[in-house]
Amino acid sequence: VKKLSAIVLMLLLATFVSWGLRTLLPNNLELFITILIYVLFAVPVWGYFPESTRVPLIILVFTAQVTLFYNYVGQLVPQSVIYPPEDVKIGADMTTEQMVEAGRKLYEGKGTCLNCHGTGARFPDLVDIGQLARTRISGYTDVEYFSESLYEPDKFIVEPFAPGMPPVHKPPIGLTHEEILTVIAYLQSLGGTPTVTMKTELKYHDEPISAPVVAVASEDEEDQTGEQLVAAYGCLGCHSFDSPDRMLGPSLYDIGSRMNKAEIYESLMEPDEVIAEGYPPGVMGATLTAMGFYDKVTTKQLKTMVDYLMSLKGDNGT
Amino acid sequence: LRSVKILGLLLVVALINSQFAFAQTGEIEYREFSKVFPLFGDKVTSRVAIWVVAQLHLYLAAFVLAVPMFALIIEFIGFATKDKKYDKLAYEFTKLLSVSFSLTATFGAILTFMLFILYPKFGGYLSSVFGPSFFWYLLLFFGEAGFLYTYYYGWGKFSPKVHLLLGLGLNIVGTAIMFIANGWVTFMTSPAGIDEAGQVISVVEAIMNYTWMPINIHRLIANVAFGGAIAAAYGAYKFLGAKTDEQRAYYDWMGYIGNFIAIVAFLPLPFAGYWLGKEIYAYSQNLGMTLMGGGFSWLFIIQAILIGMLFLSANLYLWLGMGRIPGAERFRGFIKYLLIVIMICFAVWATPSSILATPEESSLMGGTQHPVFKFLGVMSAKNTAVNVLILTTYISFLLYRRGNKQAVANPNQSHSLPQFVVLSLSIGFSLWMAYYSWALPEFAFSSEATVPTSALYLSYIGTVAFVLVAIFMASMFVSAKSENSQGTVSWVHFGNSLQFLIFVSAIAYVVFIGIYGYLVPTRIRIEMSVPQVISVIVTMFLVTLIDILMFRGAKITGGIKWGKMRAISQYCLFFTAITFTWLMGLMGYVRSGLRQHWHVYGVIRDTSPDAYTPTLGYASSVVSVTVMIFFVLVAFVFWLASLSGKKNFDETAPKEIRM
Repeated sequence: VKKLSAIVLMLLLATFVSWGLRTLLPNNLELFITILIYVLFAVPVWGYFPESTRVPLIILVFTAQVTLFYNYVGQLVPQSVIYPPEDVKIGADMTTEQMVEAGRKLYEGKGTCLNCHGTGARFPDLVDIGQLARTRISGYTDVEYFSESLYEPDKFIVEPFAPGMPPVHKPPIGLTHEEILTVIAYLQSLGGTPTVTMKTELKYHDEPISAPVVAVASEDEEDQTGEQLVAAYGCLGCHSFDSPDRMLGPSLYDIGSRMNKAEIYESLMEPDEVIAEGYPPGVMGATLTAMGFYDKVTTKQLKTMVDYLMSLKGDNGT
Repeated sequence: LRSVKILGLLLVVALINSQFAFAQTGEIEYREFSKVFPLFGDKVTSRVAIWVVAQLHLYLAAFVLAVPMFALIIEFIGFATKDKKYDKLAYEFTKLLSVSFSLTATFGAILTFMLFILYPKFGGYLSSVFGPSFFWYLLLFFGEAGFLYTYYYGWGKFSPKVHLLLGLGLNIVGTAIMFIANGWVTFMTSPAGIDEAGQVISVVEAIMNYTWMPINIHRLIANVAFGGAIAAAYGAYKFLGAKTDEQRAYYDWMGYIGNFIAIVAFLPLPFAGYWLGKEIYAYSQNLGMTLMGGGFSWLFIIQAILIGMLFLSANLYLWLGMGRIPGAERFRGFIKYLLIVIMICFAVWATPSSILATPEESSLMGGTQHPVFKFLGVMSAKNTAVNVLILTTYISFLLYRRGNKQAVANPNQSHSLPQFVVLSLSIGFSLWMAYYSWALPEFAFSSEATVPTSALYLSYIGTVAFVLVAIFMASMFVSAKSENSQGTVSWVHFGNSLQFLIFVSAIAYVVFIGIYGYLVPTRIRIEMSVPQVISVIVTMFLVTLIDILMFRGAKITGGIKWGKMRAISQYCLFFTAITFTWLMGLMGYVRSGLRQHWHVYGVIRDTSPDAYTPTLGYASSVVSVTVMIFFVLVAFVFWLASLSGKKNFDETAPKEIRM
């Protein structure tokens, strides 16, 4: 009882002292020094601790101190929080100044341009790019040069740098056409004069934007129409839906008057069971498998597609 | 086996839950940890909760995968040498496995649960991509449980060969499990096998993505290093609590073996890390720049300090270990020089390229970079420092190894094998040199950037030339020895001189490439680290070869006095284990944090309130807490493992015997 009381007393004393000192201790080292205080107060009563607990106790304190030392090192380096890029509002009636400002924000944020440009060694520094852009490729205007560099960065590489920039309208950057126009305005302003407006047409404006957002079959996708589904699953690549023209596969514009629901279902799920005359077997099955159609398609989608195909009656039907 | 059943059940429930979550994707994306588990209040966010649990699962899994690797190797050594000591050691390591395996499974189940509860949409997406692999994973998991428990409980019950085969099966299945899980993890950083909308095209491609194999290799090696360090810590724990000299001798030896495994596995780790970094750059320059040049660049300074500490403790342990070797005192004089070199290299490696400074200090320096030290903060200097560090640690080991040996010539020795090895190496490297001479100029001089690329060419040719000279020196040693087999002194001096020459020329070459690196662009500088490393590896190989030949049949000046170790040496082992664990936590953070505000880079954005990347200080605190929890778990494992050696409780026995 005496030994235990002594240990408890010293523990209380250590708690009291470390509590009293807590405001004086540097924030990062508070825990480290607190443990040291406990160790200091444990020394006089060390002999009272049961022998079997001594080694584990020393190891525990040692582990805590080494861990806290590394934690302290972690606090010594510069501390900064990196926030996800903020959305920049783009309006169709933006002035040039507003475009430059929006472009700058995108350049530093969502566009992640600063990651590589501006540090000098690995990618070109863009400090005078507004001026240089006019002379980089002969026959190109600066806007044409910028748009090609942003949409097809690997097409022209500035010497002696190596390729490595991703197209900015695709994931993970995924800027919209409008956002790209503002980035061009900002780039023009670096050593030059911005001429681009929100109405400027770029040759890439027909290209689809792949927004880097989710990916899972959502409620919306479940609710897609048959027309949307045959487009999404690439059927339009081989079949014509609006004329009797033959493509890689037979035209489906009158499929609803040639087949019943069960046959259409079979043609989709087991395309090699019945082959339309004059077409090679195995092609459709292999294509759909390669596209992951059979892994992705849901029962509901399949039903929608079959219903849609059944509605295609050709010239007689509509 | 109960834990395995529980895990199986939990995973099945989690899978069902994932399908449920998948169906609900339109409704719930995230749940707050503080609302699901209000125990910790608002302090623990969903991200921190899943971070800590994932890291704990990784720590335990790394240990569970690593221990069977060296247990099997040690068991095999015991089988081959018929030395029971090794068999006992392998069993002692294996004793740590069964509880660790249950804990790993438990944390794996908690992690799965938390993923689907806190991140239902993201969890649902992962299961939509990797669903088929989950079942393989489960199957392998049962396989591992079967092998592990048969290996452990079947110790001494089967013929040695059958038991070794069981160990081999355990390792193969364990590695396969890790490879599958690595596919899920690496997919998040470098997704593949999906279309632009994120829909899966090929599960195999999704698993075998860009960073998959580098992570596999990196984790495989790192697991061995980590497992060795923890096993050494177990040896140290038992050593400190040992009652008899015999126990002390045994656990001292166990600690030494564990530490040896840890350090040997640790040495190639930086190179596996470089490969991973290179693949990250190859996948996305943007990711690469975020890793090395962006917000994470200071993390590598913390890493440098941790690795420097590891080198220091590894060397200190070897130097302290010389105290138990009669005859090693003759090398004591070298230690101070080795320490000086290590400290210089450590300082160079931990030098940041820019310095935190007040505006006045910055204006005095002319920027945030110090006018002199800025040259030490770049890759050229750091690569040079780490290569010299490796060589220095290797010298410490060489001195330790020689401690109680005195080389004597054995006239009956046959040299045909070493001569054959040296000859084959010479031919191999000559062919290699011929290849470079023929192939490299084509890309080195034909492109527009002739000067920098030719630097690369020259550095490769330089390495090959160095290697050839080193092999030539080694072959001189082999032939000199066979001709002069009657003498004892002449070839020992000769051999030592050759080893010294190889060391000096390797260090000179490493430093030369380091300085040359300042004159060339980054891309070439990165490439030039390869010849630098090759020269270090070749040096270690050839010097070891000469050493083995020189000390074959050596006169032993006294047996190693196992157990005659100062207690501080055992704290070195703890220090190494804690440092490894902390380092692993830190690197786990950067591997995952690198994606910043993405769950799956470029595919699924993190739109939760935790999407920001926290400060390094905050990350360090989370890592520290995780490390402490892990060591509490490790203490539990150690305690349980030590129970098996205790006597059964006997109520009728007198109290002092019972205890």
